[in-house]
Amino acid sequence: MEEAADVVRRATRFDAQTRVRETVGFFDGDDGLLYGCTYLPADDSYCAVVVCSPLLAELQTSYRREVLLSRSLAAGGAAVQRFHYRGAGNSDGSPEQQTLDRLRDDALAAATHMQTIAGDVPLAFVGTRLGGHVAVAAAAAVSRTSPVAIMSPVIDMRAYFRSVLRGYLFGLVKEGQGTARTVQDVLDDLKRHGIVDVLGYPLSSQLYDSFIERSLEEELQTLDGRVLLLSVGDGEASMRRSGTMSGRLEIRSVAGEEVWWFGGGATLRQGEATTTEAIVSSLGTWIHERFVRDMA
Amino acid sequence: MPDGANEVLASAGDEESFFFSSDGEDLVGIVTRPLLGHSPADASVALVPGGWLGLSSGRNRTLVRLARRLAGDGLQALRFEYRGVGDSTGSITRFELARPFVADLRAVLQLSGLSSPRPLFLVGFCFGARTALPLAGELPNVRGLVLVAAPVHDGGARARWERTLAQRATARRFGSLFLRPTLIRDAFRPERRRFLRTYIGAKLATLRRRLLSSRSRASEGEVVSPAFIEQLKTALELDIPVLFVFGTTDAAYREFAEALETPTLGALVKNGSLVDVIEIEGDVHGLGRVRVQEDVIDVIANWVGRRARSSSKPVPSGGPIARRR
Repeated sequence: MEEAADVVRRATRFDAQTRVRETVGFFDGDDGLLYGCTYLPADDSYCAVVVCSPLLAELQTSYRREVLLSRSLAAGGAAVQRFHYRGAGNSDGSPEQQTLDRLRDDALAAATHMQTIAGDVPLAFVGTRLGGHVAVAAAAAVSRTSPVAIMSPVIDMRAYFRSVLRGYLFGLVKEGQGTARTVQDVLDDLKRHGIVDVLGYPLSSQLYDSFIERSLEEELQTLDGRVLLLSVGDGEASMRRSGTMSGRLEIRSVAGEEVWWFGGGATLRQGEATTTEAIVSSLGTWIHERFVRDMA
Repeated sequence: MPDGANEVLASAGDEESFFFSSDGEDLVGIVTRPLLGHSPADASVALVPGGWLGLSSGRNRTLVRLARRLAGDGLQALRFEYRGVGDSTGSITRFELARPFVADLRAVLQLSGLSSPRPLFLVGFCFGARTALPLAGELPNVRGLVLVAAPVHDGGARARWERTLAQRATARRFGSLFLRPTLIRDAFRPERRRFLRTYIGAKLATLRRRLLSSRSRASEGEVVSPAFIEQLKTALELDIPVLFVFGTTDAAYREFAEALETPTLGALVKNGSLVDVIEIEGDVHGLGRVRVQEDVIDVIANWVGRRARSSSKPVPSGGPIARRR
């Protein structure tokens, strides 16, 4: 695990077991610096994967899962780039700057950054929750044939935001106020004030407006490449009901439960580890198949 | 920067991320350099995250905003991720208050050069408060300690304490509380009412539990972690000022208020001029509101800034309990 005991502060670590080199640091976005971590396999990589995180609280709850996924993909021979969107994590900017188009631009900046390091290898995109929409938009902008895998995709955008806004109401109830308010009231607040505080995460009307009319089914029509929708638990049925099926689309599921909005995520607790292992295995296999088996 | 002045914030361009080793794992840290021309005392601040939501960025990047605010005030700031958390290696499925990851903090301070003679402030959140506290007595350059939503118990010990403290509280003892002149006087002060509600609520819970439980006695060690008391005592003996920050809805605040009834902790906190307690309206432990996050940032940046600028002269304590609404 140790690269050298006498190396004190270094931006890169080398894992002697997997021979993956990880580099943490900042790179240029189009409106400030973005934070990210680049994972390079020991040998030439067969593809480069950009991981597009979810937003708001889910950024935190899926964080460790995405770190472990990236390490696993890199151990299997793929270069991987994780990053923090503008206004999120360690990157520059504020949450109010986030829109789907700007998040896509951040993903494209991450792809450019990785390709300067890993070389000109074919790209794939992985997204989680709303990050799936970002992944699709970025793939469509780079190469319509890039494979895209989405973990726990948001199929019904209105239902997704209703659940987010219920989190806002939950926060009010917890503070002993606003029990009679409805999700529609909160939406009115969002339109009136431009922002609402959802359990400590600012949800802006710009972000809401940029996503609310974007159905995943329609977004996927912009791609010519293969797509995997990976659900956790019983989400597969709703994906199939959504009618997003086509020859290029695969739907898979893994057993387990999603980490709830209020859950941890910075680390993996008991029970989550098994789910994460299943996700990592399923996704890793699928991406490897796209670049190694399909192209053979 | 003086309280209330316009904020000057550092940005990602003032930061450097790095890996460091601790117990065979590679952990991630980020240093935010102080902005030029804003250096009050050449001091550094280590932000020690909580365990449950322990990313170095914190909920809604509260720790990032705090680090960049501190750097804007001329202080070098450090944040990091424990083993098994975020971008660090290793695995961890639970955080035990009795076993904080002091080695991780010690390692990042040494490798970042923050354990040098440069004045250092430690700011710990929940589990991070328990991680930071032992180092106050260990490192010679610690000039201040901020304990945010600090649990005073060791988890398992608390369950025993709740049961036994409830059993030993007599109706006479509880009734006598209402006859204390200071308590009655404070009831007419709006700013004291909330604390009294917390205090009396804890007493009522104790009484209720007493009625439901069998009799036995609890030791002070069951009320507050002996290690917590010892480490706090050491810090205060070294003249290190300590700021406790709690939210009015924090369970840790109720526990802290209850623990002040014990002789040792009560004496340390109530009688010491080096201890400040600041109460913020809402949930500080979970940082569950943006407003609370901003209040926490303000409180910490102002307190640390004042201490850093006044390192050569004593800074008056804010009193036993100060409130921010």
